[in-house]
Amino acid sequence: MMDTGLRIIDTQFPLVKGGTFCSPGPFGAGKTVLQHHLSKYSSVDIVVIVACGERAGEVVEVLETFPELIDQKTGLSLMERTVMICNTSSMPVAAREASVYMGTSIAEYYRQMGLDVLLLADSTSRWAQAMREMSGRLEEIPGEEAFPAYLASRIAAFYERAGVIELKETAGEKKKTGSLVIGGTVSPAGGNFEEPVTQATLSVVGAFLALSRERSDARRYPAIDPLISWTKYQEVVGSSLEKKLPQWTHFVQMAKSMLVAGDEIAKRMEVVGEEGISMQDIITYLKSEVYEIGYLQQNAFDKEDAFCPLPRQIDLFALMQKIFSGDFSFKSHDDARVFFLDLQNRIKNLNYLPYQSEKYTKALEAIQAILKEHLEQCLEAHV
Amino acid sequence: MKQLYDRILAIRGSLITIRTKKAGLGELALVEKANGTSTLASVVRFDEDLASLQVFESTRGISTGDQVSFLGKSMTASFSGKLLGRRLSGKGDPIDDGPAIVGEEVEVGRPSFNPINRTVPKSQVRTNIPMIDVFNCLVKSQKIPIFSTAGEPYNELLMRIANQTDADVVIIGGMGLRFDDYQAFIDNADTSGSMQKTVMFIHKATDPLVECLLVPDMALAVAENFAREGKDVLVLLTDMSAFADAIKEIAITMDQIPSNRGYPGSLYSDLASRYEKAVEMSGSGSITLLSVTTMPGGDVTHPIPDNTGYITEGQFYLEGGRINPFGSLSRLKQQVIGKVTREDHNDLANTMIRLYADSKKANERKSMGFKLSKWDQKLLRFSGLFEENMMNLRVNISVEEALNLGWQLLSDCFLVSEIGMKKAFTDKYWPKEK
Repeated sequence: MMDTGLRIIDTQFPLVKGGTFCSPGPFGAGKTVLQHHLSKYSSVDIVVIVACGERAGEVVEVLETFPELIDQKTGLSLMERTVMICNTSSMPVAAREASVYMGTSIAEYYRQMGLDVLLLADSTSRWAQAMREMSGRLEEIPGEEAFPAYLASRIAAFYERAGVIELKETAGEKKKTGSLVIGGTVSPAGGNFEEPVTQATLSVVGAFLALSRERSDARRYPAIDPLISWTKYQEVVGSSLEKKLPQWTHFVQMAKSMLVAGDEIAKRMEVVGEEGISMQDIITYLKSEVYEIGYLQQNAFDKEDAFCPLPRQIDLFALMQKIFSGDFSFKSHDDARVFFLDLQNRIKNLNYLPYQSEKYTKALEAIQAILKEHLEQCLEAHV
Repeated sequence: MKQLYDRILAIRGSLITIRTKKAGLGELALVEKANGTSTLASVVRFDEDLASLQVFESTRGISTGDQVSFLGKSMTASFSGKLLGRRLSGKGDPIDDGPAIVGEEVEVGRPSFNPINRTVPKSQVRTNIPMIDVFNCLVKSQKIPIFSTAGEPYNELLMRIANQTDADVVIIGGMGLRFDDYQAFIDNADTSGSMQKTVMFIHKATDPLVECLLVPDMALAVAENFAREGKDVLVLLTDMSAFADAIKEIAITMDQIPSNRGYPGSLYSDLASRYEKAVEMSGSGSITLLSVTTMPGGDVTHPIPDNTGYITEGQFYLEGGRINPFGSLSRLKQQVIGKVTREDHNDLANTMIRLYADSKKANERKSMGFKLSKWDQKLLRFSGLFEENMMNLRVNISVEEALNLGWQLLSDCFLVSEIGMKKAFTDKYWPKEK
């Protein structure tokens, strides 16, 4: 598993070393912020960033901030583990087509040394457009939306270079492995995923982290839409995490269905108003909101919340399990709302506290006590 | 020795073709017409020993026997401090009846600045328009378009910003301008007294199309030279859609394969190479680039606004004569909000936007005939005041005044406990009862 410190990725849509993923989204949805986060916090040895046809300002930001940041694993400057291939949007198009291959070759070189490497290409749409531009100039017959006919096979060939390899045994050393993760952002025209680059990418990657305008407009960051994103690595990661927290996979699936149900109930509520919704539904909706706001959302500008290490995620997810499986009952809709809003706020504030500090432990205990007390009351009422 | 070519093989649109083996891509040529006048052209394509040249005027009046000679240089702009206060065409010729510009010849369309020579921008450009200053700050070296539709007062907005900015030099690049718009820019610069720091490159709707393509390059080449001298330059480009349409027209005449709605595949690169000129140089001046993109049919997914949005650092939506707070975004505002400006800036702006968004919902409830709660009525009152005192483009106040006004509006409509802001701020800034 490649942990990233983002709860929505590590828990809901985990990535693995040697895997592939893509993150498409319209402009302004936070693609580059996500890439920057991954390049800072991913648990790998080397990060290769290919700035392919994007803004020069973003490159400047990396160049100025990374040398100042400290890599938690090695204690060295973050720049020490970063390689940057720079082809900003005003630079030549032929070099743009080459830039992702340049990045991949460098990444493969490090993988051959037995290291774990992450390659981030921002953005593969610019790369595809460069191919289109060159193909147009060569007067090749255009395919869909004037992209060359070989677009899909080129994209597949690029992502297929990811993977784990076993290195030859050398004298005196144990067998080593090296891995390469490839993650590309996609900038679909008009934010519409039904276009050739997104579709060709989706058929070859292992995880799909869709960024949506609605979520970023609602200030729900990271704006990865849990309803349409998916990953093929859930079971691999789940089986290893189940050793730490039983029934991990089961609860992740339950969380997903909770979100789907919550979304459906929220839509219904807009039409018929809150009065027309049953108590059971409103509890499901409120639970999904707690998970959404207390767990999936993370504040990238908060020192503590920006990076959530795996043990901390496990603790928090254990708490979520209790909330999911809790059998709540309330006298009125308002009571339920008050209870869950309070819970949501407490969890949100818990996320801002340093892990395992005194305050953190106290706050966590307080939340557990509230839950326990309420559930016991419910139980008595049933009896 | 100068070689003369006296045979033009083909004339198509603004392109002429001659047979030559001695020409460079982008090289300028002089076409001497039979009637004694002459015009410039530049090489845009080769096909074996045939060279296609783009003529910088209408090809009308060019005949196959006209003489073409190469000048051995590419397109340049004359740069000198005397440019200030002048109006020039896309070719760089004066159109204000003034003397010719004498100065250093600078090549246009040079590569943009290398990221390692740039710095992260950190200063605000004040416009005295609350919707920009408070909610989506303009930051020095930012490139940001105004997304609008035909008929909106985007040129008036640009003029206001040009008049009120503290930039050292303002460069206006007009593409496809109607005559009255052009005149309005001149009148505005005259009356506001900003003429002496303004340079205009103007392509009017009736001018040859090719000049439209040259306007941004000329404007930015001149801007770059001012910036190298340590000046803070503000470049205003209106309207980039006319520029993109000119690219389309030329590309199709050149038989290029169109990619999306007739625009060439290079549209993104073409726009980016202009927008990326915006820069904050380390140890020198800066270029801030504000442009207008009219969205055909108000459709933001149209190739022009779509490609633009991926290049620029945010966008302003101008709708119904107001800057819409939803959708408008300044990607660089985090660099200045609360750091350069007052500490309460970010919280206050977010709270106002949140309440304004809620008021929109309350308005929906009202129009659907639901019974309004007390809170809804408060929200509606707030939205009325907010639109009148903040969103109205006539409002002209500094960012500090605007923040104070924001607190005033909130306290007029709500109780301090209702707005959910940090106590430290409400204690300090909430207006006291009189």
